Amino acid sequence: MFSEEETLHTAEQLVAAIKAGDESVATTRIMELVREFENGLYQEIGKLTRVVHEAMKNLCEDSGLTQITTSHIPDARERLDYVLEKTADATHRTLESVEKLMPVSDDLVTSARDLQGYWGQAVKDAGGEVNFQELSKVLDAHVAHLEGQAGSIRNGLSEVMMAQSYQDLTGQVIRRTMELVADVEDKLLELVVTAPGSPNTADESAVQAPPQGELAAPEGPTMGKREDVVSGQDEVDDLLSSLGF
Amino acid sequence: MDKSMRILIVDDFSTMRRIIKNLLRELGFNNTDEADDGTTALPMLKSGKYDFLVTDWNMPGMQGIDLLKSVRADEKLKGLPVLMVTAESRRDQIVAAAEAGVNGYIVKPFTAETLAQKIEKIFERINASKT
Repeated sequence: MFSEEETLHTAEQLVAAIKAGDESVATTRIMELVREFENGLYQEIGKLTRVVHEAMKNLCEDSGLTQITTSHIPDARERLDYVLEKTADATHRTLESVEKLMPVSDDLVTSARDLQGYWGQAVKDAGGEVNFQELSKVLDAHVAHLEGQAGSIRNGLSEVMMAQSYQDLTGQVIRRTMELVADVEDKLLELVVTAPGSPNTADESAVQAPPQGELAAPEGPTMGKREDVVSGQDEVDDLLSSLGF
Repeated sequence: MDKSMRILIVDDFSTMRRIIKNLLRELGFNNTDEADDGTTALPMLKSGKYDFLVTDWNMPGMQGIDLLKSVRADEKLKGLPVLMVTAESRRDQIVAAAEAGVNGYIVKPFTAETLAQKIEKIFERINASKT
C-alpha cells in the first residue's frame, strides 16, 4: 500500500511528466495510481463480503431458517402433493360413479316407456281384455329389472359418499401446512426485524421432544413409507390382536 | 345388537361426521348425535344416555384419546363402548388407544364394510362378556 507521501510523490511526478510532455512516464505514473486505488477497493470488497456472509450465516442459524428450508418446506411440498392426489382421486371416484349412474337413469326411463308401450299394445290387441298371465310375467321382469338398477344407484351413491372422506384427510394436512406457513412468516418477520444486527435471538424452532412416556402429538395422515406407522386397517387389526384384542 | 341405540359421533370435520352418520344409517342406526370435539362431547355423554361412542383422535380442543380416558375415568360412563375412527396411524398411538381401553380402532380412509365389521365385533364381544 502507498503511504500518503508516496501517493503525493507519484502524483507530483505525474504532473512533472505531463508538463515536460513525457507521455510514457505520465502513463506509467497514472497506471501506478490506478493500481493502488484498485488494490484498496478489492480489499474493502473482500472485507464486506465476509461480513455479509457471516451475517447471513448467523441469521439463518439463529432464526431456524435452515430447518425450515431443509426440512419443513420439502415436508410441506410433500403434503400438498398428498392433497393434490387425494382430491384428484376423490374427483375421479365421484365422476366414475356419476358416469355409471347416468345411463342407469336413462335405462329406467326407457324401461318404464317399454312397459307403458307393452300395456297400450296389450289393451289394444285384446280389445279391452287382458292376458293376466302374460302381464304378470312382464311385470315381474320389470320389477326385477328395477330392483337391479336401484341397487346400482345405491352402490353408486355410496361410492360418491365415501369419496367425500378426502375432505377430512386433506383438511388435516392443509391445516398443518397452514401452521407451517405461519411459522415461516414469523421467522421471516424475525429475520427482517433482526437483520441490521443482534444475531442472538432465541431459537424456538427446535422440535420439542415429548417428555418420556408421553405420546407425540397427533399428526393426521402420514406421507411416504414409515416404520412407525401402520399401512392400513389390516396392520391395525394385527397389532391389536397381538395386544390381545 | 340394538339398532335403536343412541350413538354419539365426534369429529372436528363436519364432512366426516356426515359420512359416518350416513354409514350408520345404512347399517340401520338412526339414533345418532354429533359433536365436534371432546370438550363438547363429554358434557353430552354425561347428560345423555348414549350407548356407543364413535370418535376421531386429532381434534382441536379435547383430543379423542383424552375423551376416551375421561370416559373410562367416569364412574357412569366407563363401560361405554368406544370406537376410534382416525387418520392417526402410528403404532404407538394404536397401542396407547388400546391401553386406554378403546373397543375398536379404524384408520382413515376406511370402507363401509370395515365400519360394519368393527361395530359388529364390538357388540359381539360385549354380549359374549355379559352372558
